[in-house]
This record gives sequence, C-alpha cells and structure tokens, in this order.
Amino acid sequence: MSRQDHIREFAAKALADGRVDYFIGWKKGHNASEVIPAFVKDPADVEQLIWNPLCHHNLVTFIKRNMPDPVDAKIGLCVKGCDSRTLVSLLQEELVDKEKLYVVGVPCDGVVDRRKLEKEFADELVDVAFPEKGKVVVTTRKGETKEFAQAEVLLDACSHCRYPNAVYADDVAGPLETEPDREGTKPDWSDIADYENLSDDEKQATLEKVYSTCVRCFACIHVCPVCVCWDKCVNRSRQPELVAQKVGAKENLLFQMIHMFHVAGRCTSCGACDRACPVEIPLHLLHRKMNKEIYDMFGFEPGTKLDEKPVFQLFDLNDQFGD
Amino acid sequence: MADTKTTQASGAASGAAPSTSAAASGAAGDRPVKIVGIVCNWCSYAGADTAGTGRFKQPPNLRLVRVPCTGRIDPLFALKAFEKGADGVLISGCHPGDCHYSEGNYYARRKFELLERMIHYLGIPKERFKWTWVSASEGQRWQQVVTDFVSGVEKLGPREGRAL
Amino acid sequence: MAIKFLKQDQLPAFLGYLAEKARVVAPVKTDGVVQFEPWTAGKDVELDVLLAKQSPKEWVFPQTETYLKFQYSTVVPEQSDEGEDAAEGAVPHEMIEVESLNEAPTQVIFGLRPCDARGFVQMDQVFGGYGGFYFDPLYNARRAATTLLAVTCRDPRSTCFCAALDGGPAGTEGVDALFTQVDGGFTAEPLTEKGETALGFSGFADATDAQTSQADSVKSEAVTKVDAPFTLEGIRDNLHDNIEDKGWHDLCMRCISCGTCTYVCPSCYCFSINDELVEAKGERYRVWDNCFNPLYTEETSGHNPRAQKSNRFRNRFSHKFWYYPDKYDSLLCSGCGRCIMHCPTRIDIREVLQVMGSPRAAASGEPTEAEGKEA
Repeated sequence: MSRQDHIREFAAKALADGRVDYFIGWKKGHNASEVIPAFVKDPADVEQLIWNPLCHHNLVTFIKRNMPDPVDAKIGLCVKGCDSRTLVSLLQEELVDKEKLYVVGVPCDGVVDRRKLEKEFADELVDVAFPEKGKVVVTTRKGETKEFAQAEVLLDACSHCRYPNAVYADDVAGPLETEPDREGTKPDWSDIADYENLSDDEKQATLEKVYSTCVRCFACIHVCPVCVCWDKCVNRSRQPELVAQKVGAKENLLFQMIHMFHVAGRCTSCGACDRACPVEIPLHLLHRKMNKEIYDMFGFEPGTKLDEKPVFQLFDLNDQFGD
Repeated sequence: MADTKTTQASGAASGAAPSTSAAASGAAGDRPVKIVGIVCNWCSYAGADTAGTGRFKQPPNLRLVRVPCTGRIDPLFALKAFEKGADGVLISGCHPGDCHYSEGNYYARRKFELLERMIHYLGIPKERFKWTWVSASEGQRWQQVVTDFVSGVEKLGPREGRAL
Repeated sequence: MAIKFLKQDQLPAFLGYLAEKARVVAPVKTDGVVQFEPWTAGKDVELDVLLAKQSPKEWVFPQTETYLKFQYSTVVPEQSDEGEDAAEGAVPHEMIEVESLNEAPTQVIFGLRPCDARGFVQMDQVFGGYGGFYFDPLYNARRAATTLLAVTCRDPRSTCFCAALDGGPAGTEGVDALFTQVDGGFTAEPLTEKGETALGFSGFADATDAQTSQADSVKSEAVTKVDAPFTLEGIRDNLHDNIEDKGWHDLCMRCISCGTCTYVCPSCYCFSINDELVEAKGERYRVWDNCFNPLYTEETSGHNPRAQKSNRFRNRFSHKFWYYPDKYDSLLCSGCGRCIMHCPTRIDIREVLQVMGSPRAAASGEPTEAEGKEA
C-alpha cells in the first residue's frame, strides 16, 4: 500500500468517525506540475489527496491561531519530518490544542525543488511526473521533455535533513524511512559556509543586494508555522511604529531580522519561508545561521522533543555567555 | 520639479532643532560617532549616574535608553538603532545573580549571545556592538567600558553604505 | 506610420537609441529570476520567459514614493525696539519648510505584455480624476512621461486568461507600439504618437508583406493558446448575490493572507501614507498597501470590519470584478495570471470567479445589510 493510499485511508476514517471537521493534505494544483494544500471535509473526497515529491508545503501553518475555520475546528493534517518539528515547537509552547489535532506523519525521502526545475526551461512547466523512484520527468507546454535524477533537484533543505520521519504523529503513512545517525553526527551547516567566509563588507553588500528586491508582502511571515502574532505582529505595528512602512533594503533587512529573532528557538529551518517568497530571497542564509548558533550554544534542535521548551523561553543558572 | 513652500507654525519654540555633539570627533572625521546605549534602570543606569556624580571623564558620544531590565530588551532595539544610523550599540545590565527582578538578565544573556553572533553575521564589525554587566556602584567600570567602546567605534568611524 | 521591422541584432542599438533620451526599462534575467529593471548596454532583454516576476507598474506607481520633504526649525526673531510689536514678534516660533517632490523621468518600458499595459489603463481610471474623483498628480506625471512598447505573447501560459476578459495576447489597450517576434526580428506597429516617436530609430525598415502576414499568424495562433475559463457575463451580479455564501470560506482555506497577489498584480493600486521624522527632518511618502493585511481595515476605534480572512478574500475579487467596474466602468484585472503563479498556495482567481461568479444554490445565512453595494 503506497503512502498516498495510507493518507487517504487515515483521512477517510478520521472524517467518517467525526474525529476531525476537516483534513489537510496535498492535492494536484492547476496543472500536473503543481501541488497545493488540500482541505477535505467529506470522506468521499479523499481521492484528491496525493503524496509525491512535490508536496513541499508545511501544512502546520494552517493550524496557527486565526487560521482554523471555524475557529474551534478539529483538524487532521499530514506532516513530513521537517513539518512535524514545527508542530512540536507550537506544542512546546501550548500554542495549539493537541486535543483538537489528528496528525498523520508521512515519512519522506526528499522534496523536489520546483524552482530548480523551472529554471531549466524558458517555457511553462505543465507536468512533473515520477515514473519510477529517483526519477523526475518534466514536460513543458510546448511539449519539451527532460528527465532528472531526483537527488539532483531536491530542495537544498533536504540535502541536510536529519528528520525524515515525523517526530510527532498519531498515525504513520507507511513504513518509516531510515533514520540518520543523529547521535553520532553533527548537523551539516555547509550550506552557509560560503556566506560566512565573506568579509564584513562583502556580507553587507550581499545583504543589501538581496534585500533590495523584497516587496514586504509578508508571505514569509504568514506561511511560517511558528510565526503566530498575526495582527499583533511587531512588523505591522503602527502604534508604535517600529519598522518603517517604507520598502527599502535597510528596512526590509530589519523586518526580516526581527522575524528571525522572534522565531529563534522555535524555527526549525523547515524552509517554508524560502519557498513562499515570490522574489526568491535566500532567507535560509539567516535562519540556518541562527539555528547553527543555537545548536552551538545549547546543543538544541528546535521542535524535536515534546517535553522540551524553546531555549529562549528558559534560562539556566549555569549558562556561560558574555563577560 | 520640486517647489519649495514655507509654512509658519504658531506656538512656542520647541526643542526640535537638530542636535549636534559638541566634543569628540571620530577618527574618520566628518562627524562624531553616535552610540546608542541600552541600559537597565537599576544597575547600569545607576552605574552611569555614579560615574556622573563621581565626575569621571567620559566621551559624550553615548545616548542612553533606559529600560526596566535587560530582560525587556528585544533584539530589535539594537537592530533598530543600527538601522536608524547608530555607529555602535552598547547594552548593559545587572550582573547575573543580581537582577533587580531576579531572572531578567538570565533570559537576556541567552538572547544577547545570539544577537551578537547574528550582528557579526550581518557584516557589522564586532567593535560596534558590545553587551556587558555594570552594577550601580561600578562608576569607574562604567567609565572604562564606555571609553573603551567609544574609542573602538571611533577607530572605525561613522558607518556608511550599510545594509542595516 | 506603416508597420515597421527591426532585425533581431538591432535590438540593443534600438534600446540604446531610446536610452539617449529616456530611461529604458526592460525584463532582465538575473540568477534565474526575471524582473523589470533599468536597461543598460550589454544587458540581455529576456523575452523567452513570458512574464517577469512582477508587473512593471512600479515604474509608474513606485512601491515607495516620497512626495513631501519637510524640516522643522526654530526662528528666534531679533529684539524689536518698538513696544507694540515686541510682544508679538519677540517670541521664538517654530517654522516648517515643506518641499514637494514629483519626479517624472522620461522613460520607455520595453518588453511588457499586453496584459501589463492594460493594467496601466485600468489604474488610469482611479488615478485619473474620472467622475470628478481625485486626480493623482504623481501617478499622472509619470504616466504621461512613459512610453509602453509591448511584445505580443507568442507562447501564452496555461495560467493566462486575458481572453476571458476581452483582452488577448496581441491586445493593444494602453500599448504605444506593439512588437511581434517573427523570423529574423520583430514587426513593430505604432499605435499612438508616443509609439511613432519611439520608432524613429533609423534601424527600422518598412515591414514586408511576408513579415506582416507572419506577425498576423503569430498573433492568431497565440489567441488559440489562451483559455477562457469563464465569461464576464453575469459575474458582477452573481458576486453580489453570493456575498454571504459559505463558498468564500471554502475557497480561501489555503490562502495565507499575505500580499503577494496584490504586489505582483499589474492593476492593484491601494496605498498607505506615512510620515517619518528623524531629528526635525522628515518626509511624507506613500507605499503600497494590500487588502489581505489583517489590519487593512482596522479603524482608530479598534473595530475591524474585515478581521476575518474570508471577508478580505471576498473583498479582493469583489473589488476587481464588481465594485471597481461599478464605479469606473473598467475591470481591475487583465488576466495575466501572476497571482496564480506566485501565490504560495496557488489560489486560482479563475476558480474563484467560476465558483462565486456563477449562480449558487440559495445563499446560506440571513440576508444582511448589503456590504459594498456602493463602491
């Protein structure tokens, strides 16, 4: 039984039993190259739920405060390993009610980066298919077809994945993926090494260039599963106004850094923000560094254990920081 | 196509004229460096006061922002200061164990450690940001901290062409 | 002026000719991302990728536009000897100097698509003082100084739906000159005086019959590639009738209420105004706003009529296809499909209009006081 079949079975049962008011998964988008979040209310509609390497959305963002509709809905959702950690971050702070959730963990061997595929063609993609494991076949509107090895077109985040299985789930969609040896290995932070090695001036120049394209759409803020302040967000505040409404590189970088600090210790570098950004700003440069330093300071990986609390919500008398 | 109009507002004089720092000019010359100091009310602000009453000579480049406790300091304050043009940011509070609210600075030191590392990662030279602990009676230490920090910032001069 | 022809390798020279008298803006690909940016010699204009990430509207309607600068100062008058005036004149008083700005550099936008040009025409309505409403001097100054040279969409996308809105891949609304890619180069049709002026470059030859006829078949073939997934007929009335329908909630479940669709759209125009002051010097600027911002309709009392995401969602589509047409006789959408392409969850405006722009089963819930019956 495929993972997709497991998901459909779990969803149908949870809906039929009344355990959830609606079930969130993934479904085909406006063409066969797109996958979008699916909200299923009727057990008969579970056939639209799919599972394939295009299922990149972190669905945990839909259970944040202000998102459930109705507000007190019981919700079922699918989570990959990376997604489940953001759910655990929310649960550590009791920002969502565990009793209202039904969580289906979906073991994952990597998500394909649709943007990488898009950049291989000038023409529009209309089909991304997975005829066999490890192979990706892309077709454009004018009929051009190209094959890729899945390993070469994965999201950058997947290349250093340490949690292929959900760390929290009520049911699991099929057999687990092989767990990497987390005890014996350190996380891989090589993706930010190039930037880290730049000089101060080069870093500033890079950031200025990158953040001059930001349009302050707030897609990153809203798609982030642990960014919950919503209408009370400091970045939106007008009284007092802390971040200028003006859209310029300096203001945009300040905006993003505030977001990063406010999710520090809860952000798991799931990458939803990177994928949501319409102008493809490399937000991972910031949140990956942040998580690297947090790991260095505390040995802490956010959202991995239900009985932990995010590190900045705690203190230890034995902390050795500063003078 | 800019046209200039002058409108007169009635009312008594307000102290709204731009202020300039009279004394020490930066090494890189065109203007004195502007440092924002964010200090807790009970220890460091009092420590600065002690330095004042003791008439300890300090460079005048520091502008203090007083908060009840370093635990209240959101990393955004330091970043905002840089964004608005501060050449340096200095944070100071009670020594761990002596917090007026018992625990505020325990939370704070975790945040500031990350803040410092991220500020460097943004390409802001380490001489421009410092966080430390100065108690109410440590007027001399306050003088030393400020003098050293300002001189470090002056060597780099005012910040120009910056991303934040 | 007759239809002209420009050889492919003459394009940089043509843009250079335009650049002598105007800022030239064109789509350029950088690190795989295509955006409209100022063109300089040596840059390749990207025309194979159909649409730049964002529309070119920011070149006429900048995201942030400072239009006033002001400075406070204190005037301390000289002591007067005359007793009567002494009381009045001797008191130091505050002065404020205000400088208004209205930059409108001459510019040519090359390589935009007919839907982008149409977006400008749609925004012209609200900014143009029609019906006695406000005439925006900033927008109109830039608009008057801008020439739009559009390129026919030889290969429309599946997300294009200009055809459903009485537009098309070779549409001419708002276009000063329309370029069409044919063998060896472009045909160029001047449509306005500005277009004729732009085509004054010596590298243009008269188009041959073969070239114009090829351009015609490129256009008619392109038209067949654009879907029209709904018709405009009845949309306005159905949106009105369906205002309380629960379908709005279902359609917006995956919407994350950001502002991406608004900011990539060629015709969204909402803006906010802000003053900022640093040490007695300040500026007043306007900046794009978006109706999905949870605080968009928050009032000073604290009441927020569109606190619910589904209300904001309903408002966007109703504005574009009902309120705006009622007020200005113009749609506020040109069918470019950018909102579909860039929405983080691919909310599909076509789906929304198909569902909510059609008659629905009896609306659930009590009929309430009609919201937004007036624009």
